[in-house]
Amino acid sequence: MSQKLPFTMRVPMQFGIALVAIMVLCLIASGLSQLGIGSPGIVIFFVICLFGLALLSARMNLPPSPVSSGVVASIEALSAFGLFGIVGAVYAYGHDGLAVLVGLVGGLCLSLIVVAPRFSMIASRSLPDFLCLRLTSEAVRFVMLAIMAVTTVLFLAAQIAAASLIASQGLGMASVVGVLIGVFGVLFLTSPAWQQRTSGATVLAIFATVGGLFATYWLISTKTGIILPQLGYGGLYRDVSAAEMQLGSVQSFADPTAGLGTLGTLALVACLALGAAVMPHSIMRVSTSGSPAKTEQALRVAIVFLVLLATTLPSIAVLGRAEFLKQFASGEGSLFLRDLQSSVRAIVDVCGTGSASAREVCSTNGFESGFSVNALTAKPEGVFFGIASLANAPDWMLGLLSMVGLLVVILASTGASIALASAFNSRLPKTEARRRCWLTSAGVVFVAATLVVATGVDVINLGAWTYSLVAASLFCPVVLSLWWNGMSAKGALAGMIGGFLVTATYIAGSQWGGDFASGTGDEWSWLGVPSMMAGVFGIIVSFILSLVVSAFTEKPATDRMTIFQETDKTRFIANLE
Amino acid sequence: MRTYLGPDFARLRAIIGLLIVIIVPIVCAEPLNAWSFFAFPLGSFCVAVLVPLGIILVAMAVPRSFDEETFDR
Repeated sequence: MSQKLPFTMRVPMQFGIALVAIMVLCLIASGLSQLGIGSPGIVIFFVICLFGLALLSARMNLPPSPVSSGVVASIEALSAFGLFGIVGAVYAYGHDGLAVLVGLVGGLCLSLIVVAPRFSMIASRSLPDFLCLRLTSEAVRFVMLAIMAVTTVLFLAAQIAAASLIASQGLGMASVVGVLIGVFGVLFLTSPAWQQRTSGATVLAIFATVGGLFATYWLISTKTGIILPQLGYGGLYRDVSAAEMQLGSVQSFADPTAGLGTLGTLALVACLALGAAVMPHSIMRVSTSGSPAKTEQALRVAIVFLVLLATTLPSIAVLGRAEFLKQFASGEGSLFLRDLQSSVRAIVDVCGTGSASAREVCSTNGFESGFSVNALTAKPEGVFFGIASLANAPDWMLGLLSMVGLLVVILASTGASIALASAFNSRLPKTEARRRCWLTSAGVVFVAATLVVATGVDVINLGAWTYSLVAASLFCPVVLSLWWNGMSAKGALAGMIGGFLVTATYIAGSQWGGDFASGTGDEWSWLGVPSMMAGVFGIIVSFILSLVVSAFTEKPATDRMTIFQETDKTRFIANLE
Repeated sequence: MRTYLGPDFARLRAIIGLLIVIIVPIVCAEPLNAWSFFAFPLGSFCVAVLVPLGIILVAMAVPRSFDEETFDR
């Protein structure tokens, strides 16, 4: 029926149906809660509904369009890193945490201006194929495939780490259950049968968007009385400042110099924006529309939806901070910190004591009359779910957040693994490529899951490293290849390898140091830059190497640039008319 | 006559616009937050809400390509 409606009616109707369905789910969950079913049971109910939704969406037949690509691209661009990172970074760093939001949105806009539409002029199936065609070098393709493999594994590991958090904080189960749910979801969505259904990802993305917006709007409006979360900042910031003053906090939440500092914030924005602009799966998602005009339309839709969703997330972080400090200041804080309930332990660490019990912490540090707020350090990755408990939200809210989190995790993982698998198998016949894609995706997901289980690295660091590595190794070679006649294959190789090695080395050095063990005091710190912004060094190195090596080496045939120049000429004349 | 206000420099103007929209509010956040005229930190509000909205405006201002199928822009 929906296909018979005009386009302007169809999209709002799809979102309306999703909103009604989510409200019905919340009502049912609320009823189950009244019947005495606990929080884990409610979350399991939402997870079952999620898999039911996935099966149902595979049967729907929505026509592919730039708008649907844009909606999916916005969720993929947000990913678990954005969902957990924006909330966690704002909670932990205060004002400076907003760099994550600005970086991700700015990256999509940069892609719209200089990358994706121009890439879609050449009908390449992947970024490595494009560079191979443009620079006439197989070596460039192989190096780029290798870099894509590493960054995709890190990106997937961030998503799976988020799934394990959902399991431990939402379901109250072992983290490995979340890893298994994430792996199973990705295997299902990358299967050949699912990939033939183009509408499946769109339906899931619509539910993720509507669910996320519904949860944030409900939380903020019930706590502050303001319907738009974006306008709730003022009152919440005032609450935070008042509580900080009362508790004698040494760090001011709204002070831009207290967290990362202005230069640190700009560096983080640069790493995330340049990484997001050339993130292979984002480019592939919007470029599948087939033409520069449709690619631009898809990207504009993606930017609008990403802004809509992402600008609500910082208000949740500020709400969580305000609630935490308010409860702490009113005396309830000392109670729940004494008990150190799991929801609180997920958000803060007391004197870096990890999993030590409340009594041990008190006796070790002499906190007989309770903790000082200055003894607490935030744990950014746990804030997203911890806030629901802090704000005394009903059980269905935890279930809804879990469902939205899993949808984002599975969609982003699927997009990234499919982009890598397509790049690896782009030269095979279509039917064979589809089967091989599934095998490649499965292999990458298993490697990422093993990495998460073995190392236990958190979602925010993994996400930030991915964006830093992509920005440092791919941005300059790809953008210069798209816009500069003088780019050579050796220049691209030098830029990719140099940027990648510098960034990877700095991440390892600043995180673990020379002895490959964290916290031993020998970790590197160049200009005080933390590992999550390691890309700033690599971007500079990559840019210089790409330019200098290209200047002194043989250029490819210039007719490869003809398609860009002809299109530019057409566009210029058309704009004049 | 090709001028910097002409359509062939629209993309360059968009990049400059994007840089201004992102960098200026972040750099000015500290004095804006300290400004007591508003009861809330104006700098943080600008970075959290107005910067993303500014990015949307920049995205809408980027020159549109022609659709080869419909000849629309």
